[in-house]
Amino acid sequence: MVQLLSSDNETFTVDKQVAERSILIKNMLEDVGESDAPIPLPNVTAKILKKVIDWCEHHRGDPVSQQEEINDRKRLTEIDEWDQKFMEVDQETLFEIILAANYLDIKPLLDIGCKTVANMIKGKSPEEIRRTFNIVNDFTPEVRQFGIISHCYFLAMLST
Amino acid sequence: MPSALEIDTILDNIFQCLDVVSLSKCLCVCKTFCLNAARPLLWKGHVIERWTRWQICNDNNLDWRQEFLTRIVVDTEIERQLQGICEDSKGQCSKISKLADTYGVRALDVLTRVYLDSEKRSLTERHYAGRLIHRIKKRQCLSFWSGQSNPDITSWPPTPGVMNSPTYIGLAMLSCAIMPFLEVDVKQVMNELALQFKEIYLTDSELSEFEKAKRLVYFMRLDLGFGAAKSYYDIHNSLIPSVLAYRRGVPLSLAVVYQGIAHLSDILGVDVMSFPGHVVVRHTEPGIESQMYIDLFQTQLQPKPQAMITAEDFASVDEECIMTREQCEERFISRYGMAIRINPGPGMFPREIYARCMRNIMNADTNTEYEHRGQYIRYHLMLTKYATSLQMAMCYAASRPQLQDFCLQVAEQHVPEDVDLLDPWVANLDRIKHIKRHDLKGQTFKPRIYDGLIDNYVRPVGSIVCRHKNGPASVVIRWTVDFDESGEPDVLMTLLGENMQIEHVYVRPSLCTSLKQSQAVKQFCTTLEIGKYFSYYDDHHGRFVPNAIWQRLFPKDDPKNFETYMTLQS
Repeated sequence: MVQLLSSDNETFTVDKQVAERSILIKNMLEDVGESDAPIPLPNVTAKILKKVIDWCEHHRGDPVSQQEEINDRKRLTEIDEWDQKFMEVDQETLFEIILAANYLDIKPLLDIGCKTVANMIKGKSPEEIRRTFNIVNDFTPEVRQFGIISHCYFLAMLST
Repeated sequence: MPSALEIDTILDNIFQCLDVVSLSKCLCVCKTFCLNAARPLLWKGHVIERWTRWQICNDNNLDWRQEFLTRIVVDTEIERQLQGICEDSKGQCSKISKLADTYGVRALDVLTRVYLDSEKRSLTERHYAGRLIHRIKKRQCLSFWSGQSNPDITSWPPTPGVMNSPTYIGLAMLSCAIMPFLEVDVKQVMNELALQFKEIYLTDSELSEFEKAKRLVYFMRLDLGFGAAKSYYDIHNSLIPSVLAYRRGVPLSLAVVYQGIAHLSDILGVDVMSFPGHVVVRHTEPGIESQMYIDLFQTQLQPKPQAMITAEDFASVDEECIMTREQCEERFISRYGMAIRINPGPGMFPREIYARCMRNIMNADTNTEYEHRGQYIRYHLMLTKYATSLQMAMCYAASRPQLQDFCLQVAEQHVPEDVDLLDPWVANLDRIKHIKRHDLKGQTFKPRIYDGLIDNYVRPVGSIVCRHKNGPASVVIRWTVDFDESGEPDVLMTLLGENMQIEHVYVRPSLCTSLKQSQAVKQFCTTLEIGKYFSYYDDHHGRFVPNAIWQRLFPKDDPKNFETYMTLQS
C-alpha cells in the first residue's frame, strides 16, 4: 500500500499496483524505496486526485502502454464507454484531470482527456471554439486578418 | 495556474488528435493556439499520412505546414483539371496527357484517392482518374527503360560507370506499368529477404560462393516456400510484387528473385539462363569456372520455421533443384522433352529478361484460368496486354510491327491519350486508318481489323466476330484470310448470316506462330473478343459453346442459327 498526499493535505491509501499507473509515483518509489511516509503531490487537489485514483483502480489490469503507441499518430478519437462516462465532468475538472495526468505522467489518462477535448473542438468554427473554452481572441487586427485569410483559403481547398 | 510549458504539452497532445480541418481552425483561435497548432511536427504527420506516393523531402528546416498547403494547392488543381476532363469531352486526350505529364508522381495520391472512393465519386471521375494513373505509371516505366544501358554493349554484371538496375527493379517497374494498383515496395521486400537470408545462412565468414549460392536455394525453397505456380499463364505469376507476396512464379520470375537476393547478398557469378520454354539459374564459382545449374521451378512447399528444417529437407532440395550441366540437359529431355545442348555462354542480359517476361505476360490473355470471365476482366486483360506491348515496343525499337499495330489500335479505341506516346509509329496509324476508310466504302459493312489467326503453318485459318448492332452475331472458323501486298486483308463475306447488318468485323494477326490448327482454334477461342460470346471450345463436338451471359442478353440470337458457322469443319 502507498499513501498519497494531495495539495490540500488529504491522504489517500491505494494499492501499490494502482499507484504505479503513474510513472511519476513509480519512479519516486523506485528512487526512495519502501517508506511509510505519504508521497506529497503538491499539484493535485484532493477532488482531482480522487478522480484519478478512481480511473487507475478501474484500469489497474490494463497492459502498460508500449512506447510505439505513444508515437502512433493514428490514435483515433474513440473512447471506451466507461472512460466517456468518467470524462463527463465540467470543463474545469476536465482540464484539471488532464493537468494532473500530465503531472503524474499517466499517458493513457492524458490521451483520453485530450481526445475528449479534441472531440469538443471538432466541427466547430474558431469563434465557437473560443466560446466553448472561454478563450479571448488576442490576435492583433492585422494578424487576425492574415490568419482568417489563410484559414478560409485552406478550408475552401479541403472542402472541394 | 498551469505553467506555459504544461499548456504547450497539453495543447500538443490535444492537437495530435485533430484532423487537418479542425487543426487549421485552431490556428485562428488565439495566439497560444496558433503557435501550438502550427508546430511543424504535427503537420509533418499529416503530410506523410496524406501523400504516400509523392516523395517526402528530408529537409530538417522544412516548414511542414507550408508544405502541406503547397501540396493541397497541387491536389486541388489536379482535382479541378480532372473535373474539366470529366465534364468536357473536347480535347480530353491532350488534357489527360498534359495533366499526367505536368504532375507525374505528385498526382498519384490524389488520383488514387479518387479512384478508390467508390462511395462519393462518380464512375466517370474514377474512370478518368484510373486512366491518368495508368498514364503516369507507364511514363515512369518508359523513362526507366531509357535509363538502362544497351545489352549489346554491356555485359552483366555491369562494368563500373554503366549502371544497370537489378532486374527485379526492372520487372517491378513493368508490373507498375501494367497493374498500377499493385502497390508493393519491392525494393524493401527484397532487402528484407536478403537481410533475413544473411542472418540465417551466411553467419560463417569462410563460405565459398558456391556454398552461398546453394544456401540461397535452401532459403528460398525451405524457409520461404518459393515454388512453381500452377498456372503458367496467370499474369500475376510474372509480376514481381505478386511473386513475392504469394511465393510462387514462373521459372523466369523465380530466377529473377533468386538473382535479386543473390545480388543483395553479394553472391557473385549468378546468371539467368534462357532455354526454349524454360529458365534456370546458373552459378559460376569465380576462379575455378565450375558451374552449377539451379532449377527453382518445383512444386511449392509449405515454408518451415528454421528449427524444423532437417537434413533430409536439404538433401531433397539438392536432389530437386541443383544440377550439373549434364544433369540439367538430361532433365530437359526427361521432363520437358527437349534435347538441348547447354553452351557455357553468357547469361541473359537484363533486357532479354524483360523481353521474355513481357512475352510471358502477353501470352497470358489466352489463359483459360478465367472461366467466368466477365467483360470487365477481359477488358482489363486487353489493357494489360496493351500496356505490355507498349513497353515492349517502346524499349525494343526494332520489335515486331504487330506489337505496334496492336498498340495503335487499342490506344486509338481505349486509351487515346497515349497516341502521342506512339509517335514513332504514326505512319502505321495512317495505314490502319486507310484500311478502315477503305472498308467504310462498303457502306453497310464497317469491318474493322481486330482478331483472327494468320499463320504460315496452318492456312487458311481465320476467325471473325461480327458485332451485330444488337450485339454479337457470329463466329466463323476456317476463314480464308490472305493479306495482299498492300497488307490489307482479303476477307470473304459470303458466309455471314443473312439479314445481318455488320458493324464490326475484327481480324487480328496472331502473335502466336506455328500452332497446330486445333490448338490454334482452341487458343483463339479464349482470346478477348471471342471469349465475350463463347465460353469455351467443345473439343468433342467441335463447336463453340456460347456463354450464358450472351444467351441472356441476346435471346433472339439463338446460337443454333449459327451452328453451321460455329462448327469446325475438318
